[in-house]
Amino acid sequence: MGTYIIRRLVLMVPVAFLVSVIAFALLRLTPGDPVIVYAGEERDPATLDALRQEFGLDQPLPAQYVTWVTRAIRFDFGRSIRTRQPVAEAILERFPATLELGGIALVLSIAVGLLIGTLSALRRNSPLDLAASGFTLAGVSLPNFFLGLVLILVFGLAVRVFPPGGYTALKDDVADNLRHLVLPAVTLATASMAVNLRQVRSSLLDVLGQEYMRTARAKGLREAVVVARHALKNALIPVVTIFGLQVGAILEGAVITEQVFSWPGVGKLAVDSIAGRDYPVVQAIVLLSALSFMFTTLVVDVLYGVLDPRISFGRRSA
Amino acid sequence: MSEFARRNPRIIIGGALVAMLVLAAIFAPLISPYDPTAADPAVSLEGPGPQHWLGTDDLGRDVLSRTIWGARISLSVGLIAVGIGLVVGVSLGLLAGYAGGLFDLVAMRGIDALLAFPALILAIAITSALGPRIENAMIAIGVVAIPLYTRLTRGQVLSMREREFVTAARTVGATPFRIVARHIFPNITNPLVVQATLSIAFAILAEASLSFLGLGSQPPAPTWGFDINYGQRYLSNLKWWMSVGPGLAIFVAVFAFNFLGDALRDALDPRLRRSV
Amino acid sequence: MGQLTRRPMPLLAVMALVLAACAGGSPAGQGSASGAPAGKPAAGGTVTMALEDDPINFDPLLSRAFIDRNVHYQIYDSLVRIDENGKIIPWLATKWDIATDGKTVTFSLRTDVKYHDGTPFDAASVKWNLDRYRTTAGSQRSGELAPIESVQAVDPATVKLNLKAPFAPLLASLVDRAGMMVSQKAVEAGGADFTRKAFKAGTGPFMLTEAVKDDHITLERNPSWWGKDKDGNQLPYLDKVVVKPIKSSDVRFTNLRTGDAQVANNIAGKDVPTAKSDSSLSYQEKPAYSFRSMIPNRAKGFLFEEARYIKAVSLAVDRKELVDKGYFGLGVPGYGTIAPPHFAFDQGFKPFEKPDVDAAKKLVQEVGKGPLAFKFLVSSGDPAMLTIAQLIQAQLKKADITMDIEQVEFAKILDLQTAHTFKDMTFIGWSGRVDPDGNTYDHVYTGRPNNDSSYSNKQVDQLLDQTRTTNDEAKRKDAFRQAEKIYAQDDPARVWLGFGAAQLLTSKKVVAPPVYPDQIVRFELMSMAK
Repeated sequence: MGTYIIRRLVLMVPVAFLVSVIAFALLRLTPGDPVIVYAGEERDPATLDALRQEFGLDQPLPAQYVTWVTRAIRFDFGRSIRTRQPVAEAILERFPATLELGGIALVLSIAVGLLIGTLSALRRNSPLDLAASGFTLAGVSLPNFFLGLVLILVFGLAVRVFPPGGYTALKDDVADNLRHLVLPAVTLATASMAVNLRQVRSSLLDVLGQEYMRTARAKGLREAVVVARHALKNALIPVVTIFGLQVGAILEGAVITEQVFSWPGVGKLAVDSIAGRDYPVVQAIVLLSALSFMFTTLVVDVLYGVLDPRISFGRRSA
Repeated sequence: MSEFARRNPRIIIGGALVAMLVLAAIFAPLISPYDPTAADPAVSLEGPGPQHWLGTDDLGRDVLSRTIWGARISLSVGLIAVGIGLVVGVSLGLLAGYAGGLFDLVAMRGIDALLAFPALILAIAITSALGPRIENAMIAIGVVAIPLYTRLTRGQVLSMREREFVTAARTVGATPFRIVARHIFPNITNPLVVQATLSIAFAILAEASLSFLGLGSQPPAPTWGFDINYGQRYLSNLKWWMSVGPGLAIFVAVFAFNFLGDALRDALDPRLRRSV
Repeated sequence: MGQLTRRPMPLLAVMALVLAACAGGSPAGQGSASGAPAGKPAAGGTVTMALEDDPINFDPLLSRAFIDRNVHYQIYDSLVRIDENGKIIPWLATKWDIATDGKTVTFSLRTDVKYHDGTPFDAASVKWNLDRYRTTAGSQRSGELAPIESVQAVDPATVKLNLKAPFAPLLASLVDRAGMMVSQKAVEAGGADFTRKAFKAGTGPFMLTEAVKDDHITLERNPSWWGKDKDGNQLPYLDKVVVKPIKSSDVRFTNLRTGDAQVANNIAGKDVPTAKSDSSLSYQEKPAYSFRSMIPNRAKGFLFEEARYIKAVSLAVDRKELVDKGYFGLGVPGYGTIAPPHFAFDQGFKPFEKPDVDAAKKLVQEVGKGPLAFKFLVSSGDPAMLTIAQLIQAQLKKADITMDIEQVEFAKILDLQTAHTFKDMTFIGWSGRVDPDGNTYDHVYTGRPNNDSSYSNKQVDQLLDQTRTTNDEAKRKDAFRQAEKIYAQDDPARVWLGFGAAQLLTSKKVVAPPVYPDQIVRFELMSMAK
């Protein structure tokens, strides 16, 4: 397995290089001069030139790329053009908000997915199972911004149970933080909850129909033991992959969810910075999220092998 | 036919839903009660009623008519974006899988790099780069979908390449193109059809998300994501109908394609049919 | 998204040639809280303001967004300020004297002022500040202060500005960021981070003590501020102001209604009727300096090089319907750059009061190149602006003018405007300035930075030069009005649609100060209701 991991890591180097080029180029190819956007109504040409110089935007593109990459390797992403905040600081400052929202959503989607998925597989065609199947189809088909708006309409505006948006830091006021968290977390969790539920249910059904399960049952083991010891463990293998993918999906969903709920996380920072052509911020976020996605994939693949000894790493293609 | 229907009721249901959407899109001019773009400030912001079943927006346009017309853009975005992803992705996958070697290595690293980006951020950036128009949203969504098809195709080709009928064809001197076209491609169409159906659902969602962020269609053209975004600022005045009409439409469309895709997978993919 | 703020920036309206009358006047002299109960206002209390965006630069030198000024005005004092009617009043300067040749301005300064960090405020400090704004590379203030040749600290309480040439709008610039005084010690200690961490750096009624990006800003009472109310009570009354950036207008408004915030200065027009009828809120509104305009590209080779087309569009637009239906009654119809609170505003200037479809059609025919069809670029992701654009589209259709709306990212529109290469027309607001010069000169004078329509008219240039070189208010007013008739009507530079409104929405839990035309909330005059 060690060689497998090393091989994968080596293959990641050229991919990381490509990723960095794309991350750098994406916004540069987009019309819109960051300095003019920054300047707003104050458009004194001399001031604009001074700003371009300050942020190195007057250099040729390859030179700008080299400067950026060599600094990025040392985790120095420069300063935001818009706010002059060091980019790493800007991201770290917003990370807790995204982590909280994404983390809660992930836990919610996995917990509900496992619980309801298992129950509905065991009680196939029961009312619960039918309701769960309905939810599954509905959940993946509902755009999360629309779900968010409906939740805001119902619980934030019509019946004022939860605030319709905004954020309070956990350290400032725990109760208020949680009050703000409920609607976005449910919005973000729904789609992946549906995917998880479906996956748990179908792989459990798959396993329950297998030969060795019948053997286990024939041996007179109690149903609960059979499910817990044999079925769930085997059923988890494909489920882990899906969970791994859900990390990516949730981060992505956070982009929109944060926008809808004015949640000051990294996703919102990314969208705002794209609109403001804040190159350093966008480059850093895109690069970091791509790299972390690559590592997540690797970790999932390794976990997959740990759970399923039948898989030999040597032969799997990357 | 009745035999097929009895064995695959879900395909029939899903197919019927999709057909309904397609018909709505084609016959939008006939079935929608009003011109979807005709502004009439005199009747702006009216709630649902006998004149306007789903109410009017702030320019006095009929929400129901806009929702029906919206099917046109959303469906064409779905089809064209998936078409782009399918054509480019499959060709790349066939080439990489069959040719192997350096081409495979380089192409797949490119695909890995593409796959590493959060799809939505990538789509946002591509649409920004090309300019916010519906055609560019299609391209962006198509590009984001490429890796999926490339990986799927390549995997299938790799597993097919050493099968007996392929090696047999090779020994009788069939050209690589002929082998791919005649022997390999027909064997991978089923998973591709399933994937494409599901991708249309994804593409409709993605277009709605881009339009929601203001990067999709151009006004006054009616599209669902755009109309939700346009109407959402009146939610706080509890004027909900402007967002709810198009929102439900997206839901139905995505649901229809997901449902059909699932049913097709169960019917066409024998490995999975057993399980669910 | 980031469209330019459509709000006013102060600048001075009136060129007080003479010494400002009320030397040593107290800041609250003019504005006791409207409807305030008699007697001494309650001391203490914390209010939360729901602000439309996160302030970006606390350093006035770097600031270029309207949003920043909501905080600047609380933590910094400037040399002069405006009263609630837009008239320039003494502030850190107790009086000023403009020489007859207009080339020197002498300020007498308050002598009882200290920065929050304890360093004294004096003439040397004024010189240091103005020189910093004028000469630092990348300063956003250097343009406004360009007419200054040198700054001279005559004695600790007197500072003299020597100008290159007479420049009437200068005093108005000193109302805002170019006249804001910052502690040298704080700037030098803060370095590159000063603009985000300007803690205890000003002399203003509140001190910045905490700033968490996109989350909140804390302003604490400056116990030794120099200002007193008209009864001699120490200002400010409040202990603390918390500013929360909330981009969604709906969420801001909901926050006011649920009591999570007590102050907002920007809510959507559609919510105004609800705001007025909500018994827990009080709502104030007055005309602001900001204007709304459609910007044609008049450069050679572009469609609107033909000025008659611009006039045809101007004739066909129904401005009243735009205000009523598009802005929900917020603001007023307008035809040029000079806004209601400006001294030069002409109530009677209404060249396109009623839409004249026939006259528009006739003009297009007169050009003789077939029907008029053009593209209108609107910033994407801004549904409110889109509503206006689509209303205009429907109005023009009645005059057989086809306008295609194209949503383009704000950043790209700015690019095209700066390069003067956009096709046909764009739509971006202007936040407004205290002096009409700030609303006009850079927009229509040949070759100036905000002259996005590539407008050039010799007569207009001449008239506008006059408004700068004379300090005689009557002469300035006359020249401004003559110029406006040309660039707005006879040889139009743009299609002006109207002026914005300054709003102040407060909870009944606080006693609100009056609303100012620059839209900045005067927290030093706010107190908790008893």
